[in-house]
Amino acid sequence: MSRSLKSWAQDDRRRPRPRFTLAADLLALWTAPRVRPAGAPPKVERPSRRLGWQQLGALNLSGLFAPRVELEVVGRDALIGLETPFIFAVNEAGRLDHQLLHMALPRRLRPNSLSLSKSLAKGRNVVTFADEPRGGRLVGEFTTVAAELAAQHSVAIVPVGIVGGYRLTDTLKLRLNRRPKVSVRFGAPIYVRTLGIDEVTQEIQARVEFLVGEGELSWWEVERRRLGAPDVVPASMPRWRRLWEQAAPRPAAGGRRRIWR
Amino acid sequence: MSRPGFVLEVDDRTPALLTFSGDQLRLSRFGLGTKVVYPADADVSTNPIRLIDSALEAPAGTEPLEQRLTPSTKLTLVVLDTDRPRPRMRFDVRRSIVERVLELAARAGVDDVAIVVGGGLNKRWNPVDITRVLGDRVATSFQPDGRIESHDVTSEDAVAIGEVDGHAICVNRRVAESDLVVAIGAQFGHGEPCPLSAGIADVATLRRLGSPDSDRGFAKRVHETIHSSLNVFAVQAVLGQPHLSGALRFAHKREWEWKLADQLAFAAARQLAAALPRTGSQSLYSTPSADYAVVDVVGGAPAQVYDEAASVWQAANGVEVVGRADVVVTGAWGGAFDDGDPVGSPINAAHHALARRLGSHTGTPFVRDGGVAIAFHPLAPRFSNRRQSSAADFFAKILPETVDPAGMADFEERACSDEWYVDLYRKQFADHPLRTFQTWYRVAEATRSLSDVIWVGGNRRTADLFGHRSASTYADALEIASNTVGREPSITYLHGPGLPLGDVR
Repeated sequence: MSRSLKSWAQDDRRRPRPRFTLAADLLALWTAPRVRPAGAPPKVERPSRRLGWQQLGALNLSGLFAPRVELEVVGRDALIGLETPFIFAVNEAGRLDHQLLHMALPRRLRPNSLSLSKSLAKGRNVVTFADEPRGGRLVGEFTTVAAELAAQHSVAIVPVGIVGGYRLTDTLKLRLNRRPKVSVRFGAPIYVRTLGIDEVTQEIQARVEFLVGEGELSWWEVERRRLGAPDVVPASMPRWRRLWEQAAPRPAAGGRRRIWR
Repeated sequence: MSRPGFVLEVDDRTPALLTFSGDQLRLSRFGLGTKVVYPADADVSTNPIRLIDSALEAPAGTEPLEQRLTPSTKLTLVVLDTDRPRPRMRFDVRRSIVERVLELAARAGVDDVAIVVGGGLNKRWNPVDITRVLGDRVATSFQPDGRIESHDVTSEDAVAIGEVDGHAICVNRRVAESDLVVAIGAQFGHGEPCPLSAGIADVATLRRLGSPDSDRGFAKRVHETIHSSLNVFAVQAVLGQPHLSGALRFAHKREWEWKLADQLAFAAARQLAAALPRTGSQSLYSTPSADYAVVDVVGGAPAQVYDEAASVWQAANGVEVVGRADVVVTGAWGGAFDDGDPVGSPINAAHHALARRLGSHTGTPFVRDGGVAIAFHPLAPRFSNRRQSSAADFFAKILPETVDPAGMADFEERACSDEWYVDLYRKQFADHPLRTFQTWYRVAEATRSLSDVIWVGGNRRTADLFGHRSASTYADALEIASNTVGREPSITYLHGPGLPLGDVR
């Protein structure tokens, strides 16, 4: 050591003892006058409407038929950072789709499916469903309602693909050894700002189709494949094949790839 | 729009004010006439997508990003992490920017895309950092294929892109070989003049840029070389002040506006820190996160973007202060500078208090030449074995020899070539050893014009090792300072966990 340090400047080796500060602090805080000092600006409140992990919470498995299905929720991370309200654009797979979506979301995010514009104005999320799929397709056509509402209220649209909801009411009547599995997949939000109504509707259609049909691919792969849409849109298939695929066994837990956030 | 910062002059109606000292919180009374600099109000964040879209569509000094993307473009996104906002961002705006740029790239059919984390001398990102900052969506898309890398300043793979004063400027290979580089960063503080250079350059260049005798002309030429050699589109998000929530919800608020829940949170935080051992306090308060309002997002040519972002930061966070004080007082809260440690290491505490907080001004310092700085921090000589190994050795072996940056060249040379430190940096996610030296250089620069630095509640040996002084209480510190600045000094206190920018006139 070449610097000469003060001999009395030594480390304090005593371990700090636990202290009880709560009572004195509370007393001091509650007896102190709370007056805005001269020159200090008045207060302004701004509550946050952005969603964090805490707001997403756990799955709601308290519903009546919740114990009867094996629910998988993929991509709820897509909702983090979003401002409420927003619009869920969901494929119509079966009669229980609305309940399935409710199960995948905490109470404050559950959407209304009636009085859409009024609900958005009140700050509540809403849901629009695609039409009934025809010709063996997996996803029906979306109308322009979601895009128009998003443009009118300046809110984001969250595409959602529900897989496994097809004829779920019939499946639940059967005596099965294993619960039927259902997957609710959230995609990246769509913003209307830079796109027209038709473009946004096409975007919703494409994203929901890929959420339903190409769930095992990564977001980047999906984004890239979307450019060559015609040849990768899921081909039409007979009903038995759709149910067959829906009931396919899941890969082992260790080898499962995480998809879409 | 949040309320701007202001200066409160303490009078008999002013309540006790919040001070931070490591992990300890306190309500302290300040003398009548003390000027308290409150930063602009911390505001909650809003969805930044519109600001990002505007920055990408109407950039400064270049054409929109979408027009620069073609299917054959070799695109690299550089996520800058040199100037880290602390407490860390609850909603990291860089993730939104990365996602938006990737959506544009996907629309343009770009095939060759990679992400490089430009952290400079800071610790490299591990997979957890990547997922936390960039989100699952980006991580699952790029990480399995190895298309996200954290820049290694010691890599022998770096490519020379030019020469300045006979010094070869080397940068990350992927960045150098890209057709288009999108540099994405967040502005919190005056920060680096060019965070891109600090993020992707090699260690030799960074060493010269951050040396105690580095000249500004050299730095400027390095920045120009990087900007002209690479095809860069910069996107910089300008942040507001940290808005804390949960157990620390009171920290950014003004004391007379505290509600019952804030008072209870304060009392609970103090009680827990006072009653629990360090590990307990560590698990509760070691890595706080805060929400930051995104004031603006600036996109375009890098030189223009970094200038404009600094101007926007100044406009949003500047506080006009009349006159330079004899004594400037500041707290050093561990959560605002050290990840994973609620108290913070002494060298980083000194840098945070003296270089970052006292140095946050538009040109005229808060304190007059020959004035005194008083800081609150325990200066406990504790360092993380893995992350701060080089800082621990710097503290134990180099500071007892010298505190003068001019006499540290040999030590710096040895530390930079030490295999153990370099291995910790490359593989164990520790800071590069050079960072400790440059942190100390900035501390030494900041204290050059001060006659004394006094640490309230600071470890006496650590303070002496730094060449500073230690006092048991704030009153004792003023007593010590009175030898230099007299018995009636003018005092300025920098309030809160945020970073006020002093516009001293």
